[in-house]
Amino acid sequence: MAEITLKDIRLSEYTLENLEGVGQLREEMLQAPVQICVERAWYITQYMKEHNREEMEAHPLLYRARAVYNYLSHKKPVIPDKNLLAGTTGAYLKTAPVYPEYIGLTIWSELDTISGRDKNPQLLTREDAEKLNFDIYPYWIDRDVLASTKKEYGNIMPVRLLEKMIFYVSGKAGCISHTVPDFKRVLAEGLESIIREADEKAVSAKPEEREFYQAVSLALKGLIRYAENLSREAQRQAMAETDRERREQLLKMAEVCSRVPAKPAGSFREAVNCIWLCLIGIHAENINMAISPGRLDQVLYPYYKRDMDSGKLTVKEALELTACLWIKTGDNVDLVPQVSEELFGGAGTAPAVTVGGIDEKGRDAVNDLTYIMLKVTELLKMREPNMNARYCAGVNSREYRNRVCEVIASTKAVPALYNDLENIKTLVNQGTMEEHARDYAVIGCVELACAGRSYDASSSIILNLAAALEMALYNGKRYVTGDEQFGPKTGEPSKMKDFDEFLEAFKTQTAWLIAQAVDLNEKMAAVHQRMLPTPLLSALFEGPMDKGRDLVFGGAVYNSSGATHVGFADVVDSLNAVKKLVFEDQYCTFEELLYAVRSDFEHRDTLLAYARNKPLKYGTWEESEKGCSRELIRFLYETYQGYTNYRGGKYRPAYWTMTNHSGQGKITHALPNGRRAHQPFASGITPVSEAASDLTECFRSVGALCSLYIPGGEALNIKFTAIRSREEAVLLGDFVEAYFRSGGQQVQFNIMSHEMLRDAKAHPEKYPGLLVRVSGYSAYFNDLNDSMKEELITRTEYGIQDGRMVPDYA
Amino acid sequence: MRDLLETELSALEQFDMDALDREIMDYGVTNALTQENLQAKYDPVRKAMEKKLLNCISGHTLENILDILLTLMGLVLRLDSHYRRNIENFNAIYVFTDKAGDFYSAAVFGDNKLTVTGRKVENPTFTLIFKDNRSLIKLLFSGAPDILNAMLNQEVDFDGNINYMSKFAYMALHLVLGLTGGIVFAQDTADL
Amino acid sequence: MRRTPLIFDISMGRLEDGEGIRTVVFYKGCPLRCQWCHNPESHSFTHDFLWDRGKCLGCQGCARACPRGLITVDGAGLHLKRENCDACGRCSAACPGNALLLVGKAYSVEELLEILLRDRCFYQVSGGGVTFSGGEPLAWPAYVGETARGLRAEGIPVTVETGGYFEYEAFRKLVLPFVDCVLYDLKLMDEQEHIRYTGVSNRRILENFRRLAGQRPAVKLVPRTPLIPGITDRSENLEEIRRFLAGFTDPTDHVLLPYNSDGERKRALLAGRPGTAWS
Repeated sequence: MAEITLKDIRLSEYTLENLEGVGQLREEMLQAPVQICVERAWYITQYMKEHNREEMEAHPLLYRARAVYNYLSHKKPVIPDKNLLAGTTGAYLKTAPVYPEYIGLTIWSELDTISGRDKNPQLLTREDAEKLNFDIYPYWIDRDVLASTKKEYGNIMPVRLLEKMIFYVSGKAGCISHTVPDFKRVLAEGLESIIREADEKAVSAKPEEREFYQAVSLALKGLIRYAENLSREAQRQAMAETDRERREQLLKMAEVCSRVPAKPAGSFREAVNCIWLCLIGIHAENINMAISPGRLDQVLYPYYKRDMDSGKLTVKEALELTACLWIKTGDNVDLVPQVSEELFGGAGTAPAVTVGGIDEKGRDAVNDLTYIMLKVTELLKMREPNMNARYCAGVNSREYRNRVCEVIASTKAVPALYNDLENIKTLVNQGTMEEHARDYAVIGCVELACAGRSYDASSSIILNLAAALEMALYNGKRYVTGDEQFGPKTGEPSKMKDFDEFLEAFKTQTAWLIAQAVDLNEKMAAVHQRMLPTPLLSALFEGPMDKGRDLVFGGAVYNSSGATHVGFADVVDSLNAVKKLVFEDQYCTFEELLYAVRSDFEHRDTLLAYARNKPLKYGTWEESEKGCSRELIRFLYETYQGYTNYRGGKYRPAYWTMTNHSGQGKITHALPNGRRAHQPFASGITPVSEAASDLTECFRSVGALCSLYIPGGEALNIKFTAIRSREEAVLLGDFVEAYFRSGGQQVQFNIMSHEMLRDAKAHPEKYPGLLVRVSGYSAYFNDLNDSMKEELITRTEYGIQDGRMVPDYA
Repeated sequence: MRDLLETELSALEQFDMDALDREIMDYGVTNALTQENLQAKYDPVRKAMEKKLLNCISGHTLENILDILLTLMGLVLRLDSHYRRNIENFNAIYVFTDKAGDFYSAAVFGDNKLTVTGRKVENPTFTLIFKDNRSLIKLLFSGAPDILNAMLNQEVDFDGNINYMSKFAYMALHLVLGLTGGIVFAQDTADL
Repeated sequence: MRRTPLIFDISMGRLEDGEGIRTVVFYKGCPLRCQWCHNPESHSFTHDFLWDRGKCLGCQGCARACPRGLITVDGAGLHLKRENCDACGRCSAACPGNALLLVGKAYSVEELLEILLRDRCFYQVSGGGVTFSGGEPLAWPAYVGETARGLRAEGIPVTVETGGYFEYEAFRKLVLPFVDCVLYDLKLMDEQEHIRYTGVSNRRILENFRRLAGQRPAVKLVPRTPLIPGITDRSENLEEIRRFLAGFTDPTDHVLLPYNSDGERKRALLAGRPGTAWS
């Protein structure tokens, strides 16, 4: 248990101005355009083109490692700014690398226009466009994950549903990602130690395992090659540098890269740079969608402490190095086709850093670095990394809790807060050992991982619950797809005699949809196993090295697949609305309700008002006691946990939505809760906007859902008009702590008013870099599309003084 | 509205794709001088087709966009070796049809060539079912194919690997952007 | 006279009315009629109706729902025959737009306690509790006292906000033992002014204050003055209040409250007396 030695945990004396060059680095990174980087795709594709397809399919691990080695050993060592840390994800300051195995081909039609498009252009050179068009894409046209799946399994229903895009999204089509690696070993022992272990084990291992170890050895060597090239480049630049200070920094950089990540980290700086280089290695192999650095305040602490104790490091330098790492984590974004911009835009890669909480033995884990990292987050106010603070009431101090709340008030958005007691309990319930559960870290957005031990594939399924609801309303069809029959025929609602019958129909449709999504996930997993094993990532986990098995084959200690849901609150309210309007009050017949919904409530003002005002609303205490919310959570949990995935783990339901609640909302018609057509759904597990008018009731209702049934994580978005003082920040902490005591798992905040956001939408130039919390991660408000902005503007807003909803008079 | 010149109109009237193919076979298309000659000779036809395509996209005419596009694409593939790289080792059959089945066109890519036929083909690589001209224009030429919204508005449906759609859309859009000056790239790597 | 008070709001998660996170219970009925009151629906001890013309959809649902046929809605507005109304609440329940609201609900002490205990995590974490306000909560010493006793038994602190016009003995016997803090309004020192602006004399108010001040430190006593422009905020009035307080309390205990102008909007929504139509 660490002693806090900082005299001022707020580190008030430090600003962006007096931290060396940090302000400048931040500006440059924020202003840097996104450059599409083709380097990785080029080297990997070239390598694969040169080799026989059957041979590669017979030894996927080895060839994957070789292709990655080919890239990493040729990867251009670039030093694009004055960041103290060496290494870049791509070949420029800020890149969107192309991953043709996954979603890289989605911009094919836009190669000529993506550099100049209005919203979030991603820059492509002519030369790179031609490389993609003529050399890279043709190789992958039949080979990416989705194409391979279709080829292998045909146009089966699960695939058709995926391609319709309005039922669910399958994470595996887009990535192997969403996990927290282990850095403790590489920091303590160096990659060479892992390579040695791999080489030794390869000698006497069984054939499949031998291949795994050989692949690990090779992939890691590729990363070391890159680090060595970086070192040489830094040296070269140092020799040519006339400015003495800069020269010294470059020489330092060269020295650091000559040691890490091959050898153990000998200093805080080496440790920080080592982690960054490992992340680059991971990005070399796989797309970055929430590859999360984890509990950095724990992992880096020994190196911090040693250097501080021996006088080799000052607090100021620790702040600077942390800031450099934070800025680096924003050096890569995902390639985004224009269509995705419209529906889902503004998301970064959401790399999650987790601070605070308790250690494996249950002791207070908050240390100096925790406060240093909070300070850096407070100063930088950037989208990356995705900051999360664990809080264990009764073990972590109130000072820590209140400091976190001050940072939230200052940045108006981050960090998000996590309830250790509930989360640990939930993980243990899933079969995690208590010590491991205590060491949990967040996977961006909000999912729970045992750092370096669990492979959770937490974005495996993103399911639109409103799709299931519509299929219950329309006997297996969806409004937008007209006459096409998708789900089973659960009957015409107008003939149903009671609400239970309708609820059964809804459950049947939901179970059916889940079955399709699970089936697709399992099939895509098989595709991953055949063509995309992940030896480099596997080397940074506990489990694979012992078992001789890649992560995608179940090498991790703990295995699961995450399935999250869009439209939870709207669906719950709609079920409650059907019950009240049709069956309890008999305000209208089911037929009349369906008619109103189909016609988007046109000329049905009183019905619309009744549907909006009278039924039970999720987020209120009465609904919690008498409505459908808890039943639905339980039903989904039991349905998912009935499945075992290809790695022997369970499916874990979750409730976070990225920007899917806006995108899916846009393409969904009206619903019985009075939501009009094309309006966004409520985000994550948050109640529908303006449904939960009382804050404490909202907290209690969400807390009552029972976290044991939400093992995949949840995102509760609460908006406050303002937090204006330290006292109010303490009260914010009180609200959170009481919510946690009521069973809540997670909460995140936007501290901004309807008016301010409206102003920002109308005049983005007045609010450069305005950071907002979407649903589990942060985004820059100005990057979001109009629909998503509106959703944020109209979210329920509470005044902290009276715990009541502030009406949106606009 | 772009008006066609007299020369272009008459060249278009006399144009015969099979004749061009024979010329190509006779002279061998890899010869640079031959390429230049052919390009000069067929330039009026190309210009005519390009104008027709642009007129169609802008809504000035109601001609069948697909016919024009495929013919122009076929022509440019034969004349322009750089554009032809798009179909190097590329073998695929695209079927374009409307829901009722009244319209049907198959574009066959193979042997470094594009052949268009109205014959029904078995096992096409990719099938695009579209509602009408406007739907197709919106899908292919508005900058980035919004398959999702097009599908939701019942304007298109498809069967096959969507990457093929992306590739075709790239090729089609490339032709048009080349004419309207809409191709935008980042500056050279050296400047970044 | 009623046996159980009517409560017109139970507001949770409040920070302003005392320490920590609190639930505030607003009792209906007040012996004063302060001209600036921001809760006009608190005056009457009986039910009130609030009708928001802007939310009314003209659906006649209220008229249909009234079992005594007391409501008509026309172009001029909503007309309700109050004298025959027994406040069954069916009209309000039937209103789709929540335009017509019945103000005032009766809870048994058990029911009220169950509601108040729901937020106990919030009270415990923040050092908060429950505040009784209104109207005049001390018009109901037995009820308020029993509720306060129930809360005290659960370790939840109780604050009472009062205008000072209540029967002291009943308060002393039934309420005071279970209360931790009293927020006591002192508005105007001049008796004639007091009658003019609040409808009652301030003698009882000042006398109650003297007696209550004698109970300290067993109960925390916070004198408060709402600053009503031109009326209570005049320097002579404030000086006199200070002099009055000097005998009992630390001058820093005296809280000055900014004027809350919400009353104007609410008066527009509030029902008139029986037989009146709104427009």
